[in-house]
Amino acid sequence: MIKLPLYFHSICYGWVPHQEFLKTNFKDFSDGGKFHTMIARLISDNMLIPRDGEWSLPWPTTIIPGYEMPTYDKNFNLSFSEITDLTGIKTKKLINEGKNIVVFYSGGIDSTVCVTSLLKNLSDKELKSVRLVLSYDSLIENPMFFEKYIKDKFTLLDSNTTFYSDIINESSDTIPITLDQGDSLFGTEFGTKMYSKFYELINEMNPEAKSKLKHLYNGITNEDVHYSKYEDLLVHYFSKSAYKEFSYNQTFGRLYYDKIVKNINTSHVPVHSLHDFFWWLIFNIKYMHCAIRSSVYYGTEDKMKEGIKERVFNWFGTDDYQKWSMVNNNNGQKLNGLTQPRYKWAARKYIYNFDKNSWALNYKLKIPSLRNLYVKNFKNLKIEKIFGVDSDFKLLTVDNEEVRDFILKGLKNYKIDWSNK
Amino acid sequence: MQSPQAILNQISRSKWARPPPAHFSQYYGNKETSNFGLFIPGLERFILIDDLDLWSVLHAAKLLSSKFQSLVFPMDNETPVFTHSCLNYGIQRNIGFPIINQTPLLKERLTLHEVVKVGPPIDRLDDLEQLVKEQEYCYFVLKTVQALRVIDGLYTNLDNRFYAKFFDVELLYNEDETGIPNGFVAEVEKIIYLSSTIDEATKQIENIFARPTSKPYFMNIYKEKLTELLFHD
Repeated sequence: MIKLPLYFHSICYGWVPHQEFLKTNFKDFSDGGKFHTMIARLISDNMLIPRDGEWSLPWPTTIIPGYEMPTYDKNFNLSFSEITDLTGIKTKKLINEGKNIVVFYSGGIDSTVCVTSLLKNLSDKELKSVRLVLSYDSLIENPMFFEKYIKDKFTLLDSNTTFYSDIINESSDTIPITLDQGDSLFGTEFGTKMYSKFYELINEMNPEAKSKLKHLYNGITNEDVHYSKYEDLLVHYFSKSAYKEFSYNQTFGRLYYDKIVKNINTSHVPVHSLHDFFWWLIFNIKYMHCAIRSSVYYGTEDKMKEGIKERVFNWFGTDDYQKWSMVNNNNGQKLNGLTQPRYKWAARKYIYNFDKNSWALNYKLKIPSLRNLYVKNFKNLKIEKIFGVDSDFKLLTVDNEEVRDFILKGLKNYKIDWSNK
Repeated sequence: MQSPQAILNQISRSKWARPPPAHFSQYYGNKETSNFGLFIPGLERFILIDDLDLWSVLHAAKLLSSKFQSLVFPMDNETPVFTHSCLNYGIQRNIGFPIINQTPLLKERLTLHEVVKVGPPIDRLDDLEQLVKEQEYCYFVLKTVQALRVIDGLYTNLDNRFYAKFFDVELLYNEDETGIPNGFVAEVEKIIYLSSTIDEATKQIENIFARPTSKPYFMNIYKEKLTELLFHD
């Protein structure tokens, strides 16, 4: 029995059990159901659950208590650096209360921010209570940081033999720290990838659109250049990014753009520039996915509720970080330029002020570390079958007939309620 | 009965002895390829051009991966990209988003039309001097790699670690003639992998030679050759 509303759901076109099921039934989906499936083709999965504004879905869904978006506060004035130090001090308190801290360290910017804060705010003795789960991939992503600051200071666990579920299933005094919400604060790479292809994309468009857009490259993070000026480009980008084999994708980009705009127009947070537009997508609609995916995909079902509600420490999920994110658009904190190494600038600067490594500051690119986690955990878990989590924290998988019927019913009846075009 | 020469000629019928397919030539140098470029996707520019050896560029890229992700391209003869100008050039090819980890990849040859002059990196206009210092470090790493390959080829005769991995036994292996743990080449490579500046790296390389070693005679030979190849004026 599925307990509604759902806390989490996702159809993943990249995963074989989902793909087979969706392909077989696609012809029977309503226009809304087809659109919802196409989102999964656009970004390989569809894990979009809104926290603010209107965003209809094929299934009744709600936000897990505790994960709601804080109220926008235009006077919020703590800096990224101050919040990060405060979060380090919060970790220090946990250690002094007898907790064991485990950080999933990928060597990327987000986990390096966390480790930097711990190095700054914990004593050598306290650092000994912190274990880092990592692999050679983590080392080679930032070898200079590892050699100088990690090697001799922390207890290291090999992520090839220590799974997320092992940490969750350890003593209740073990607190795993995940950094999965870093992207939510700074804006999605779905945007930064588009910026790096800006001219390539507009060259594919009609002369009128090209002429209109070619002067707008420098306006991506300019509050005075409203995202709607990029409307034609966004529609093209979304359509192009969805797979071409379905004729349906001719209108997909338009529908997707209109749906996001409706959400923005009904939300309580200001969204101005093109980078704001992409930031909002992940900060609002994809946030829940980033927040709980570790527990859903890499934990075990019996500990899921405990993990999501009590145990897992989402480093970037605090109200302070989220409020910071809402009032620091278009001031160089999130994207300080136009190229990918300028993404997450406030986080890069926080690390740089500690390690003085200008190479990492100026060159580091995002590497998808979850891919490695996925590959390592694949054999042990039923990741590819997962569809969602109901409000009893029960895992719903596509190999269950009741779940399949439920998914189909939603995709057959879901209506496009946001666009007349 | 076949003549001795006919028997020897059998090799020419082996598939393994045939000339390589035409596209192989881009990787080994011929009249169509003159330059090898080290391209940084994050910078959207080339940071290094070499006309000596593609594989040294790729190896240098691996040692530079502690600093940035990169791609290595063989380039057409006509491409007008040189050491002094490469930071002005980007590429017009859909390279996708190949950055899934830190290891550099080798890509297929760039044609003249795929290399475009776009000016200095847009986000580094305020610190071009620093950028050139970083570029200089890249050339330093490449020259070090090229020098190490020569030294290794000339002198390293005792290293049986290369062969150790072919046997399922755990025995102690020799490194090389210098007596340095892990061997001279690996030690220098570690230094340039973990250093941030040329000064920092060269000082640490000098420190290798100052270390007491069980084989000072050979150490001096390595030192003299490295000085000749890398630190000459």
